[in-house]
Parts: sequence; structure tokens; C-alpha cells
Amino acid sequence: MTLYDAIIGKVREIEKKTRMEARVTNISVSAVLTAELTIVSTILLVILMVRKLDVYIMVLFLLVGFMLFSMTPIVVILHREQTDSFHKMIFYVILTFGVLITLLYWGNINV
Amino acid sequence: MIPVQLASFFTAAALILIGIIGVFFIDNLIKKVIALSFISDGVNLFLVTLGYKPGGIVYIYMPGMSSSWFAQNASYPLPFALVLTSIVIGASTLAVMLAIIIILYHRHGSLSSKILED
Amino acid sequence: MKSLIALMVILPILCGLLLNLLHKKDKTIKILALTVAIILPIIPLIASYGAYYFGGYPPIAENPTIAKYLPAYITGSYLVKFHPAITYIFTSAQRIFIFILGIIAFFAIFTSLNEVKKPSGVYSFLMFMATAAVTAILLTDDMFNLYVFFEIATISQAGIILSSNIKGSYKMALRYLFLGGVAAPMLLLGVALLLGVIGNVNISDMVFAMRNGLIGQGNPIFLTAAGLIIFGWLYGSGLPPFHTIKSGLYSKALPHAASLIQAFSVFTLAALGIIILRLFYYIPVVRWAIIIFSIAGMALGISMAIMQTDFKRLIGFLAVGELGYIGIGLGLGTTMSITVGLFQAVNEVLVTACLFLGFGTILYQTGISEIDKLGGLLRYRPGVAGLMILAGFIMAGIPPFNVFQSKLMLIESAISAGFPELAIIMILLSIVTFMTFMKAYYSIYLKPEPRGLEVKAERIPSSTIFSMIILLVICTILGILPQLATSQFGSIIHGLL
Repeated sequence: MTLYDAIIGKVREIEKKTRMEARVTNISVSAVLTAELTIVSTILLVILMVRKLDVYIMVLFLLVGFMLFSMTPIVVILHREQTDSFHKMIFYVILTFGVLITLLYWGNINV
Repeated sequence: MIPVQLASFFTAAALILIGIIGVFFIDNLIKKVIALSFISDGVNLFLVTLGYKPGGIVYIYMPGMSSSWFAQNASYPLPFALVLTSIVIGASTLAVMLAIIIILYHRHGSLSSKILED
Repeated sequence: MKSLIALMVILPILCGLLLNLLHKKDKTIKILALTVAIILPIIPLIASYGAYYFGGYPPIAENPTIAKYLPAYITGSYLVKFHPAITYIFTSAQRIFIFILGIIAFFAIFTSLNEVKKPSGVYSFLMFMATAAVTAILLTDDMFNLYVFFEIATISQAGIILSSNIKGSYKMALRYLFLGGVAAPMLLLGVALLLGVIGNVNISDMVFAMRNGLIGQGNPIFLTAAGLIIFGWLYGSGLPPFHTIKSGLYSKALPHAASLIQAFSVFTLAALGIIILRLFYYIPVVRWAIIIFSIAGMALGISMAIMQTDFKRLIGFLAVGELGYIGIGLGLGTTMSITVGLFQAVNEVLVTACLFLGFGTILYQTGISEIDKLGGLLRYRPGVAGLMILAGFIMAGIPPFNVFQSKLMLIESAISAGFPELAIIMILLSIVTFMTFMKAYYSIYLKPEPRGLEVKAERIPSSTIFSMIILLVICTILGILPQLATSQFGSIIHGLL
């Protein structure tokens, strides 16, 4: 089962949930593929860039990257997580708050 | 015996933490709003505590006081001015949130936060 | 003409309050709102540069009459340089920002008054209050004053969303206020920590205290304050994790209101971003945090945009995604990158406002926002379609328009700062932005018209077309003469670096 088939399957699943007919157009598949490639490229480039900050942060990003790549296709999960659900929004807000404060506190000692 | 100011800082931190946990875990919309007011109350308490001075007097310059004695003994007035404005802002945000919740309750018949899930 | 600095904030507030009182008196509301909306962009052009002190007086060092009566242990210390007032600073950078904000506010108010038979005084009040609040955020040199107007802007924006009468707007406004109820107190807590460390809430005094060694470089309270203020900045601007709620806000607002609200987000990002750089420039982690959040905003915003089937959400996510370019410019921290980041902010506001107004015409004609149900609209309004494709090209970065100039300069500054990876990310995301826009444009205008699509034959309000044309003309002028904007940011950057 190739990546393309996996994406078609997931897009069909999402389309089934959102509308009556599970019609998958070329436009929606190429949109999802583009988004997937964009996210993967951006993550790889950020991992490369972060080596200038600190090697340990780069290793952390690398681990997060591996975790994300194992959950291919990433962009379908992102689409599911970034809905208008208040619960999801507040979860990511509090998570980001914790990560930000920790990162800045760590940045005092190590950079 | 913990100093008053330190205890006050801990209380402010506890209020903020309780508020954040409440916003996340509590289902009822009104209780979420109460949790949000806990957060702003915690921050206001933190601000007020910054102006604390052990044995300090109220910062009103009365006739008969020498200016240098007043400057040394008065508690710091700036945080109190900030907190007054902050309380008003908190109250107005609260009012708008509660008004929206009333309308949503009339529409959906429920105060559960599931009405905010799409 | 220094009192004109205060007038930039006071006039829209006063006008808003009057409009609120005059609700239901249609003709008076129209005349008053339009008059003040025309005056708003003119004031920054005639005001003179300088500082305005609200309810206080200039620093003692500039005030020899007061200094005469003070003891030597005050006049001989650094306290003479501190600002005992709420200070508003007006320089060339604020001039261009407030001018552009005034133009967008004028178009939004003009369009809202023209679209309806009975204008709402309350709705105009909300738009004026929010404009005043963002103007104050741009001008203020006082952290707490910034927080106050930040909250006023939040409540006003929530009110604008509530007034749109679109399905789901109440829930979206409530979500926005809930998230603001977490983020804004964190901003205030950051301000409180800075107050505790420095003893003053004036930003210039804080910068002075830092640069003259009055606080330790690695002070952990200072760093926690940095984190908290950055968190508040993320909320105000719409960077992750607040990108979903911001794009939701844009989708639930009327098109002219959405164009105004996105201007608020961009200018809040620029203003708060400059303040964060002024305070925390010498902490490398802070600039890295700005860059990482900006990249996340770009990647998540643009990749979510391309997957949307509702064009209001699509343009909302695109608007959020484009914010990242500004953040990268600020985060890189070189003279060129900060200049270009602020230039990108100006360009961003203009072209996104144009796109929101343009997509609004589709909603006006068909009442549908799902791109799968639309198609073949090119034959009904080819002129508007032409304006839309131009706006889309501008947003993607096609020469000779303004966004091309700013994106090219951003890429150059990223490479010269030693971050070629950032340059590649920016180019990649520009390509995806273009693809996203073309997807929407094809689905709405070029694709064969689906059966059963009802297109209203009414004329699109000329105010909308007029606004779009003026915005596109400004984009072209800034594209051909970018130095008109970039030369304005020198004063801010000299103070920073």
C-alpha cells in the first residue's frame, strides 16, 4: 500500500464524514499531497536549522520528527486536530504554554 | 512562619493553576468562566503583592508628613492603580462571556461545553 | 501638533461612543462615521513626531523646573531618566502603520455603511473602538497601557464577530474570549514580573535598566516574563496555537469586518514583536522562539489552507499563514530583516484586506462559501474576477508588486543572516500559497458552473470595488517604490540594535 493509496483512503474517510457522497476529486487529493510534502519538508528543514541553536534541541526535534513521520500521513492528523473544537484548542494552548516557559527557562542556563 | 508576601505569591500561583485546570477539565460553561476569573484574580493578587511593604503606610501624603519619611514608608502605589484597571477589564470580559452563554443556552438548552465542539 | 498623537486614539473612541448613543439615527450615524473614518488616516500624516505624555510629565531630566526642588539622591540617580507618565511615541514607523490602519478602517466602515439600508451605530462603535485600541497598541510605550488596549481590542473583535449574524459566530466569539481569558492574564503576569524586577512599566525605562546593568543578564524572572509576554503575543497575532481560532474568527466575520480584523492581528504582531525585541533582543532563545513559532504558523496555516473546502476558512488560514513571514523578519534580528519584516506587515495587511473583500463579493452573489458547489462565476463578473486574480498573484509574490519585494528581501536577509534553510522554507511556502489561491480561484471562477447554482443579478456594491482598486493601486505603488515604506522604519531599528 503506497503513500498515495493511504492518502486516498484517508481523504475518502474524511469526505464520508463531512458529506453525503464520498466523492474524491483530483483537486482534493493533490491538495492533501501538497500539504503533506510541505509539512515534511518544513520539519526536515527546521531540524537542519535548529543545529545552530543547540545540538540537544536538534536531537529533540529529530525524535519528534521521527515520531511524526511514523504517523504518515501527518497532514490528515493535523486536519483532524485543528478543528473548531474548544477542547482541542485549549489543550494545545496549555501544552504550548508549558513548552514555551520550559524552553525559555532552559535557555537561560544553556545558551 | 512564611513571610506574608511569599505566602501571597504562592496563593496567586495556586489561583492561576486552579483556574487553568478548571478551564480545561470542567464541562459546565459557567464554571469555566469562574475558572477564568480565578486566573485573572490570581494575576491581580500577584500585582497587589508586588506593592507590599512590611509596616508600610497607605500612600496618601497627609499634611504634616515629611516627604522623605513618606517616600521611605509608603507602600508602592503603582500596582494598585494597575489592578483597579485590570479588575474593570476582567469584569467587562466576564460580562460579555456570560451574555454569550445566556444566548447559547436559549438556543441549545444546555450549559455543557459540548456545544462548543464542532 | 503633538496633541494630534493623542487625537489618533481619542477621536475614534469618542466617535464610537457617540455612534453608540446615536444608534437608530441612520443619517447622523452615516455622516459622523464617514467623516471620522476619512479623518483617521489623515491625522498621522499631519502629526509631528515625538512623545506625548498622558496624565503625567516628561522625565525629570528634561524638566529642570521640577528637578530644582528634588534632593540630590534623586537628581543624581538614574531615576531622572524614568518616565512618570503614560508615554505615547510617534515616529515614522508608527506613521505608516497608523496610516495604513486608517485606510483599511475607512474601507471597512465605508463598505459596512453602504451595504445596509439601516446602519448600526453599535456595530460602527465596535469597529472604531477596535481601531482605537490597535492604534494605541502601536503608539504606546507603556506595557500596562498596552495590556489594557489589548483587552479592549479583544472584546471589540468578539463584538464584531457577534454582530455578523453568521451561523456559529456566537460560539466562535465565546471560544475566542475563553482563549483570551487564559492568554491575556499571562501577558499581564509577564508585565507584573517586569514591574517587580524593574519597578516601572514604561518600556523605554525597562530597556534603559537592562542596557545599564540595573538587572542581571540571566535573571530567571526576566526570562519567565519573556515567555509570558511571547505567549500573549501569540494570542494577539494569531500564531500557533491560536491560528485555528484566528482563522475561525475571520471565517465568521462579514468580509469587510474580516479585512479589518486581520489588519488588527498583523499590527498587533508587529507592535508587540518590536516591544519583545526591544526588551529581550540580547537573549538568543527569545529570537529563536519567535522564528520557530513563525515557521509553525506558516507551515500549519498554509497547509491547512490548501485542504479547506470553504473559501472563508481557506482565506482565513492563508491570512494566518502569511503572518509567519513577518515573524521571521523580526526573529532574524538584523537591520535588514526587521525592516523587511515590518514592510511585509504593511503589504500583508493591504493584500489580505483586498482578498477578503473580493471573496466577500462571491458570498454576496451566491450566498455559498463551499468551493465544491461554486463554479463558472467568471462570466458574471469578469472585472471582479480580474481584480481577484491580481490580488492572488500579489499575495503569492509575483513581481512587480509589493509582496514580491518584501518576500525577496526577506529571503535575501535570511541567507545573509546565515539561515539558508529559512530561505528555502519561505520559497516553498510561497509556492504553496500560490497553489492554494489558484485552487480556490479555479474552483470558483474557472470550473464549469454546477447545475442549480443561483447567482443573484444584483450589482456588487461599488464601495467594495472601489476599496479593492485603491488597495491594489497602493500595492503596485509600494511594489515599484518600496523605499516609500522601508525608509520609515529606520528610527525604530536604530533604537533597537
